[in-house]
Amino acid sequence: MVFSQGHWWWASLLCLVWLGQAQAGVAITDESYNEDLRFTQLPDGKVLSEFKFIRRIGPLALAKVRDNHYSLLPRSVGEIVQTFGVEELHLTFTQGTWNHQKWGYSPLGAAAGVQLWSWFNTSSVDKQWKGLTHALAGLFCASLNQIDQSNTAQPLLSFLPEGDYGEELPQDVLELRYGSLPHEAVCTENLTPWTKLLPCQTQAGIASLFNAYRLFDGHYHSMGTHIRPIITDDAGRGMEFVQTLSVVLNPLRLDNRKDWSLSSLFERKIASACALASDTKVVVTVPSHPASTLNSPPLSVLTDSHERLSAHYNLDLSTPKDTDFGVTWEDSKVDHGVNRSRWYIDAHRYQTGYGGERGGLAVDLRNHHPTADLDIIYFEAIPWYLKLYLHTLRAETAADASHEIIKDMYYQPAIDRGRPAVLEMKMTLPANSTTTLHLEFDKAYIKYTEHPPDANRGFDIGAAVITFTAIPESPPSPHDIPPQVRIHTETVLVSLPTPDFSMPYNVITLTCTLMALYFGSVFNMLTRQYQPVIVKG
Amino acid sequence: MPSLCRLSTRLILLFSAALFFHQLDSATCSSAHADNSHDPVLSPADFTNSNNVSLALWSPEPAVNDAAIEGFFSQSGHTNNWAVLVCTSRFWFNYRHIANTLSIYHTVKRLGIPDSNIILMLSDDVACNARNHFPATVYNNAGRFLDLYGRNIEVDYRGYEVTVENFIRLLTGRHDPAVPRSKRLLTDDRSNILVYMTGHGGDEFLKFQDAEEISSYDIADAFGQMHEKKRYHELFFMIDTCQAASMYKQIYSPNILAAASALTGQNSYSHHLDPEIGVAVIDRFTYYNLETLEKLKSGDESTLSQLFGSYNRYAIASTPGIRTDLYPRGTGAALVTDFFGGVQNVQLTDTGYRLSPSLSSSPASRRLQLSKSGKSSPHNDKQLEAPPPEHRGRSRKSTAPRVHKDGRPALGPFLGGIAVFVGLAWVGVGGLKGKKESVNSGNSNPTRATGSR
Amino acid sequence: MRADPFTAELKVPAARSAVAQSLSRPNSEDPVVRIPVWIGVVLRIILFFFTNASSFLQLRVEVSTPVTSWKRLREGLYLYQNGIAPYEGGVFHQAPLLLAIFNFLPPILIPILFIALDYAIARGLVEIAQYKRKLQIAEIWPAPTSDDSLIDAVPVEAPKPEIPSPENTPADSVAWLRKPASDDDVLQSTDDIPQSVHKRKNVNFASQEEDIVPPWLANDNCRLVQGDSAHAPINAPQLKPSDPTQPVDVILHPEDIGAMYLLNPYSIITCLSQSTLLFTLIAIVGGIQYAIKGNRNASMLFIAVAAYLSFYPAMMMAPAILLLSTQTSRPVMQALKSALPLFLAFLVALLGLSYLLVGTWDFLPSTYGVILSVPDLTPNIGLFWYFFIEMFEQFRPFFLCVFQIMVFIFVIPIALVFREHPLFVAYATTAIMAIFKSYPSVGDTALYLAFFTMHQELYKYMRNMFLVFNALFFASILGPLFHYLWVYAGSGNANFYFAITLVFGLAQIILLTDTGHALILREWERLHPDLRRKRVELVHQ
Repeated sequence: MVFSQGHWWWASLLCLVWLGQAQAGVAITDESYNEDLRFTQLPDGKVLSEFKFIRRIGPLALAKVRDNHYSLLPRSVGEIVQTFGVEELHLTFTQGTWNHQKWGYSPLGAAAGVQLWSWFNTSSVDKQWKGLTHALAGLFCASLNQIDQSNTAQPLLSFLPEGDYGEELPQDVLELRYGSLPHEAVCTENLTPWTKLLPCQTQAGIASLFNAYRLFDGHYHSMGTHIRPIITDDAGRGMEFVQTLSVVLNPLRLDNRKDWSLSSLFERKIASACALASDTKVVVTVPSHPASTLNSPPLSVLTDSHERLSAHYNLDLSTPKDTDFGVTWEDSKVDHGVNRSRWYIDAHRYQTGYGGERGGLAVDLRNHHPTADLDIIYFEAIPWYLKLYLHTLRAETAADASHEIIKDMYYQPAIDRGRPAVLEMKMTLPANSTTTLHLEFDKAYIKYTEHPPDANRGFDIGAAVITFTAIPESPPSPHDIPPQVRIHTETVLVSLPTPDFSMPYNVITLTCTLMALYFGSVFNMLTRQYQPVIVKG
Repeated sequence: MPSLCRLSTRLILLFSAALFFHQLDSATCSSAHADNSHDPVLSPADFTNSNNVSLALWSPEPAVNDAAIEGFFSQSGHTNNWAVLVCTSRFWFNYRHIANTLSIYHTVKRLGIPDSNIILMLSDDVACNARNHFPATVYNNAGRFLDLYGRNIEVDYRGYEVTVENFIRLLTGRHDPAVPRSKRLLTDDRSNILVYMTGHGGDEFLKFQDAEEISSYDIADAFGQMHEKKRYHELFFMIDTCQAASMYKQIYSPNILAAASALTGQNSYSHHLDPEIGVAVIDRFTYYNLETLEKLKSGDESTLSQLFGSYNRYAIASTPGIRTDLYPRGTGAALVTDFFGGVQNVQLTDTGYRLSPSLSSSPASRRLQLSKSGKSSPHNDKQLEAPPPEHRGRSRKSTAPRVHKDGRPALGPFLGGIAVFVGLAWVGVGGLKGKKESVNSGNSNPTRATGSR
Repeated sequence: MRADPFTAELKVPAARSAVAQSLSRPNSEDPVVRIPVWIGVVLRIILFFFTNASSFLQLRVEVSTPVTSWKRLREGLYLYQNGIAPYEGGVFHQAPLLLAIFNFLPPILIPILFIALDYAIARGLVEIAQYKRKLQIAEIWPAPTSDDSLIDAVPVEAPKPEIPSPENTPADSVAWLRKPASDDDVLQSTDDIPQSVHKRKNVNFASQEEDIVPPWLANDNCRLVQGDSAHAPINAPQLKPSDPTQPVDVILHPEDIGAMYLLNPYSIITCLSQSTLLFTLIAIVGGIQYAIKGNRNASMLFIAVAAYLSFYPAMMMAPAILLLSTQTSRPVMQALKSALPLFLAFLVALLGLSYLLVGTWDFLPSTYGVILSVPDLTPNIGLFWYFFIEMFEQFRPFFLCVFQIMVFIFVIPIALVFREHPLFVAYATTAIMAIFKSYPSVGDTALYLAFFTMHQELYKYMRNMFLVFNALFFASILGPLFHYLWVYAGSGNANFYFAITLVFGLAQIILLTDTGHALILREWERLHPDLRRKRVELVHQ
């Protein structure tokens, strides 16, 4: 096109107009939002659905956020992060235990209940931690404010920062706080505010599948909120805000067949793609079997090294409404076997001993790798009412270990009603063996007011977290394996001996009677003299 | 085709200009300017009925505006509605108490009170309880017509947080500074509050979670404090427990109306059970209240006396108690939606108007003032100040020390101290034999032993 | 002619001399008497090395408390040896010098150490009992006047008994009222003798003509036979006591006291449980022992060690000062003024040594703070744990203060009222500690029961012995049972065990007050010869 002078006039006016638009506050361009949905049919027939909502906020948008202009980043989250000086935040709401032996590994696995850890870039971290827990409690309708100093830990080796910090080592300037509530219930009231943070909420996009009646009827569900700093392509510091939800549902329970589709699992279909999402990916992975067929034609089909089929779909505004993905099988044979080659390390934690005075905690750490000794970091925060005896810690393995199992140990003793006991160990698990850690404790006798209303239920001990570096030749999971892999053990329920709750006044009365009896008798003894009794007459 | 290019360029320019001006318009806030020249002259008497409010509001007379505002929001004088719904029972067999509370929650939401104005306190999680045959649902009827949990529920206090202390702190507004807004009762002197409590109770007490009790005096004093701090305009206290009427006996603050499911000495009963859920799903008093409440629509004009009149003590199996002596307006004038509903009268106006100084001094009307910029002053809570950012160069202190296996503790100074101590003690003590001669040698001085005189 | 009761040479008839001779020879030379003591030691050795009673008892709440538990000491030692501050956590609450001892001791010697401690406690008790024996021998019971009509006679001033102190100088020491030489004196002196019993005047022993060997001792058959049968008293003529109003007491055998302590099941299980209370007990016994010997410095050292370890034995200063004042024949205030700074100095030195050991002062709130503020509410046989479990938070500080004051409040009054009987004060103080300290155990009970066995002369004046000892026995059996029902079987609740601790505490309180009243009555009878065996009542003066 040949531009005449008049054209240049119009063009410059056009440029001015566009600049004006930019000043008037039109959409910021260095934010992006992607949705990701992965379905994996596990060997025992259950379907693992993992929803990921990824927002990347670039430096320009972050600058606007500091001036209280929010667009993709929700204001409630942004305000919390700014007020409390949070660099990284990881919060998960989970119900159920991830079955490592049957289901392998999932990066979205978390401990049952609530787990919250965050890296702070500020002073007076304890005060900020308290404010953070209260603010998140209000935001997510959970009782996160129960995370206080008596169950907050500061791990040294676990929960390393996951963000991109450039060249500086973040651990030197940031402080970590970790808290967990193993007994926290997760229900619709937590899902509701969490979905309200999504750009399209549950109206469009993959979140339109969220049906509370099905999500909370599964074998495992976990809702996660993760914030971490990133470095964008132009070397600016930005923020990544990821919301994840993973749920394990069982199609066999519904109609005794291995077939599943979105409508059979969730009673919903994906209404349409979210308009704000630049990319909506759906991946369906099934164990390879000639007898399976996909319900919708995929964009592409890949086969991975463990002979699993992985079908990729891409949704956008042009995809027809109410898309239904799924798989049909010719038979309903499932494999409930424990496939030890699926992942190399798993852990099982349990209580030992009997009675209300003392007990023990034991952890079985299994290394399935046939030849390699694997290094792990074991982290545990035990509440103060279990008085640990560190001198009883034993690590035993049946295999012939030529080296010591516990390489390094960090221990912080608990302070009564002040802080939990924190035990972190670097261990080397011998190849193809089970290592058992055993530790004894005494159960504390806690005060009347410290018992919860359902005192005879007992107290939950948060899961132990085992961190290890992924091994290159390990079986792949559907995701990119992060540098730190975390698996969680079960939570443990410990019952403490209870006093009689109907008795406070009686106890006070009886004991004070005894005191008064003592005082009076000894007082009499000391102040009275004998006198003869004079009998008249 | 040069002409086509030119045409398309012009179209593009026009389109972007239109877009630009449209965005300009909506991006900046509308400026307010008063144009009073064409208003009809209105007197305050024209605004006695709220229906007249839609007439032009701006008048040069502040008194007219005041009356307009008074009549605009409600006849009863309240401008916002709050609800505090408390279920004090835990455990699965108290499912019906959760269902009671959620029924009222559902009702007030349906009739217009938003979640931000509802404080819902549930002591236990029955919806996602492992025993619940229907996960994530709570039903108040064996027919299971309506799931009260729904898709959109916000529970503010749940589980172990529902305690007497938290309840009283909520009512009186005395919170730790870190408590978030959603857990606070942010009422003022123009708020009508519905306080609904259900659970197990007795004569002048109500059990919280089987562990503690709140007495009628505590509630009366909490309401008394609320009155002194001007935290309510009118309060409706509804309670569904055994001997519920004893709980409102001690209230002494004005403008409080109370309704209870049973008189002192009577029990309150459940209505029916659902065999698949396995427990009773609703209590009688709440059930019969719902029969009336569920027929209402938002903006309904039925009065509380009609609601109370519908109570049938044979159906409820206990005599409901009503306390009206502290409520001068009378149940005949009070609408059900004055407490159970929360219709916000909204009218969009692009002009501002002046108020008389007396009206503008009350906190409620401070909110009504529209300044030139069009922003209303928000109700600010005391927030934690943002900490100074970017503290670099400070090393993180590690609190968990490293365990060195069978290390050797530093015993140098201690051993030195021991040596000094033992030396001094030996010298001072002079051996452990006894400084004086033993008693057996006392006989060498018989005169001394027996004492000469 | 004058007789010295402490010498073997008495100018008395041969029969009496045999009695006196056998009395004055210390029994400890008799190997036969030591057999029960050795049985106690051998029993401990057998139970330590050939049964697992030790590991079982280490975990029992009756013997092992949070401030004396062996398992917790091992935990503290492990933490200390591995570079973790032992006092930071809520497990280890014992004195740092114990860490020092066990840091250097090889593990095999530990049971030997505890057995040796128990034996040393027994030997200390034997020495204390020897002193008590001498007191018992030297006690003087004035004879009643012949006039029975003197029913409202004023108390007769009795001569001061000779206490076996090496530097007894009666001339300027506290002395009793003069013994009247004749009946006329009694009548005469009725008007001008004031009501108070213990007015001190010089003793005039010159007027004494008769022997002051107590006549009732002539009937004593409980003598152990020495090797020489010539001294066998079996055929000794029975001397009837001239005064039928005097009680017939058994002379104390000191070795019996040691044996009774070692064979007391409470002390056996305390030793087997390797409870660090034994260090406190030996320090207390040592403090009393050296106070008897008049060795002020050693006595204060031991009591400082006891107070350093357990805090409450600071109360033992009262009996120690009384003993020191009597043994060194100084006034009490002077003895106190000379001993108290020494006690404080030793205590400060011990605390300083502890600081050097652990490097911080953290151990202070972790040891004494725990003893005083009772944050650890593990059940024990005391009264604190359940009370403070059930106590609401706002009343806790008040009741803590009240309970701690209760422990200390009667020490000075008891020391004042019973100042002539310092061993009884020692008994009473240890009894109060055993009942009312924040973490008592049966080891404390074993100690004061040993002191109780030294006061055998009081038994006939006590009224509730049957009740008390049955209650103690009953509580000792049912206590572990109810604890098991509560904590392990789950079929009982905490109230069962709490009730048993109340019974145990009540029995001990009754024992204490009963012995106190017994002593008061005995003293009253001793000093009111005309009113012995007459009806008396207790009134406030």
